[in-house]
Amino acid sequence: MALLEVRDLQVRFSTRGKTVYAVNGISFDLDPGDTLGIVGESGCGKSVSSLAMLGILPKPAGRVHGGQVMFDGEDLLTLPDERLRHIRGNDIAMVFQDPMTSLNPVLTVSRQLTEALQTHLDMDKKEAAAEAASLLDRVGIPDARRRLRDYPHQFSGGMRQRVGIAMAIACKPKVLIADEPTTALDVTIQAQILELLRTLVREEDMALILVTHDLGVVAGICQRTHVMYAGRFVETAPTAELFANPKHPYTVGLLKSVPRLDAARKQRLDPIGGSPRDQTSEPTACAFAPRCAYASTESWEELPVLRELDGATGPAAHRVACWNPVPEQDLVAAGIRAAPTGGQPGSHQDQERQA
Amino acid sequence: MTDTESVVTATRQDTDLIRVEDLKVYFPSNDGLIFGRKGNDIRAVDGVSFTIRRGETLGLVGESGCGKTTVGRTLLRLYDPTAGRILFEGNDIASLSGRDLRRLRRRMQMVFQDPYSSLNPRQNVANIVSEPLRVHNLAKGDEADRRVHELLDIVGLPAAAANRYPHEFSGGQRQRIGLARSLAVNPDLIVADEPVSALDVSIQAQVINLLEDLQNDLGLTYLFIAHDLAVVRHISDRIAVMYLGTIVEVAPADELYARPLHPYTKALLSAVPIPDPAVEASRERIILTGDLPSPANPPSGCRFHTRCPYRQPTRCDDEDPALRELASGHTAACHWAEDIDSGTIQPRQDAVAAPLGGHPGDAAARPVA
Repeated sequence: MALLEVRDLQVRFSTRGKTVYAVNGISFDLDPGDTLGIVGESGCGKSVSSLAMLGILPKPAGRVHGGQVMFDGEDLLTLPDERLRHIRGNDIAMVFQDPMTSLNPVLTVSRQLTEALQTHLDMDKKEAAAEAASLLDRVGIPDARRRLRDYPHQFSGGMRQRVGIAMAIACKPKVLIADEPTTALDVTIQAQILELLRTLVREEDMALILVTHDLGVVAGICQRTHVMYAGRFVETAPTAELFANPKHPYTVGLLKSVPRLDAARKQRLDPIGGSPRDQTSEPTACAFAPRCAYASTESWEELPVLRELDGATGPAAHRVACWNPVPEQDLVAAGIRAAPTGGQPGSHQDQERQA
Repeated sequence: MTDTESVVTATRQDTDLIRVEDLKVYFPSNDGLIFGRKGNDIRAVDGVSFTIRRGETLGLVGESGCGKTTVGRTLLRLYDPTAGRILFEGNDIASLSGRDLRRLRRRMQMVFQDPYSSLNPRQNVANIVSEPLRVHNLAKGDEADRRVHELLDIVGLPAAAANRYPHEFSGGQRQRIGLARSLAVNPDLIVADEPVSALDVSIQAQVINLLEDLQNDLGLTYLFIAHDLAVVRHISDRIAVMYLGTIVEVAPADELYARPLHPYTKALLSAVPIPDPAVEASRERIILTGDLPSPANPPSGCRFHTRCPYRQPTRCDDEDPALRELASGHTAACHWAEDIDSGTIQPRQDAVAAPLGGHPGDAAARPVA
């Protein structure tokens, strides 16, 4: 049994008589030490999924419509609030995009950190203070003991995110969910924070779920990546395999539309035409069909489900929810794949092991 | 770029549209809680010089707080310069006022970052796009309507958009509306301040392509301000890198990437995540420590010395490096640029993160199969 098992999670929002189908059945497993990326554009449901798992959807508009989130044999979606509060913070913690939303502006950092330690870990005041200082030190805040007395606004954006991470890892959670943890930060600061997350995952043996819109960020940190579109996973694979051999037209579209710093300059970018699906109705066909060059009659009529194309299963599985996966020669033409060799499932697995 | 195109660009680029000389923009600040106690001025822009050639795109990159937005806004005289000159076709904008300034403003327009806050929610698109025409007395009535439809067409919006309101449009479409408004007065220069940062990647590419098409069709000159180096490199002919109110390096776009000469540029480039796990796993990166110092109290000597992994004793701390031309069209403000480029000076070891060589957690999650 995996550490965290999400099955067919569905989230809907109801506002002013309209229903928004935000998450339409996502499933995944997370094992200890895993680093999982969830990539998608705004409105695809990636943040909402993580909020739903922790039972912190904005109320009353948002509600879980169905599914299970099994953690340690318990379904988080049906747990009583008190029990869920215990798991949240203790076993599963979250880092937010803007640390200001997770930090209380009128309390010192020390007060907020020690509170968590005292309630969750039963430390006394002195122990908690010492632990708080060592946590700040752990996340790379210089002069930690003195900075404890500061308020959140006295920290810079990057430092504030470090405080947010310190709070999240205070109780040594088994799962850390980081929702766009570096989006508000400058690139050099982003590099620092990603380096910190990498170190923490390695040294603390946490599992990490990284929610982001940035393909570059998942490429550097995640073992496995799920690509999300209109509330569903459209493709999932080991990260190296996903980038080398993307199958879903949306994944390919994303890869083609970003200019790359390390490649020769393109004459023109290849945008994905159109705009994301209006999610006020339940999807009954492929949500990407209106923007897709490969769409067929089936795409317009029937909802594709995730399935394996090359037979690889387990950690190496590459699944795609598409009626007409992008053929290899098109990947070559798009410059995503170099030469038309390989492509057997065996070779992907080998790459995986070497990585 | 094809040969014919580079010829065209070359002929277009032989005149400077904008020449900025030693521009300084300081903002007064009050320090502490005591009323009226004067603090150090915030030196948002502190001695910046550059040129923008007619028809080219100059990219201006740097982290938040480096002064890039202030430079862009001062070019349009949305802020008044504290010192220095801004020459637009040889005329000093810094000293203009009243009617002369307004006449010149018609030739320079701005596209803003946030397509949500930069459009008036109570006006329909026709009103928003035609406002510059009314302000500058260029057209009214049917003529203005015709111009609005023409502009909407240019930016790829249907004519029906004219009667709708901003909230009915997506972010990418709103950015097109903002572009149509800035094009209404037939400007020569467009200052685009983070025009695609608020957009999703698939939409970003649409807007970037549109900006490039408009430049080709209308002969526009762009100052393209952004923090995303990959986007800036894609769209720019030349790139200027700013750090803490000064320009530290200027080079042609590809050259800047291929051979960055300033340590800050090197660090910036190495920090950009590449959407390719193989590349990410194998490359070395320079991790800058610390944060941007306060522009109210910039470090002595080279402003980057407090974070520079190549810092050398005393000279970097004491002497402010000037921008020097180190290769044709490639300038950098570093005392040691040549030695760093040749490898004689190596970065401090603790600033270099080893290649990842794999993803964290691999060992734990997948015991050797």
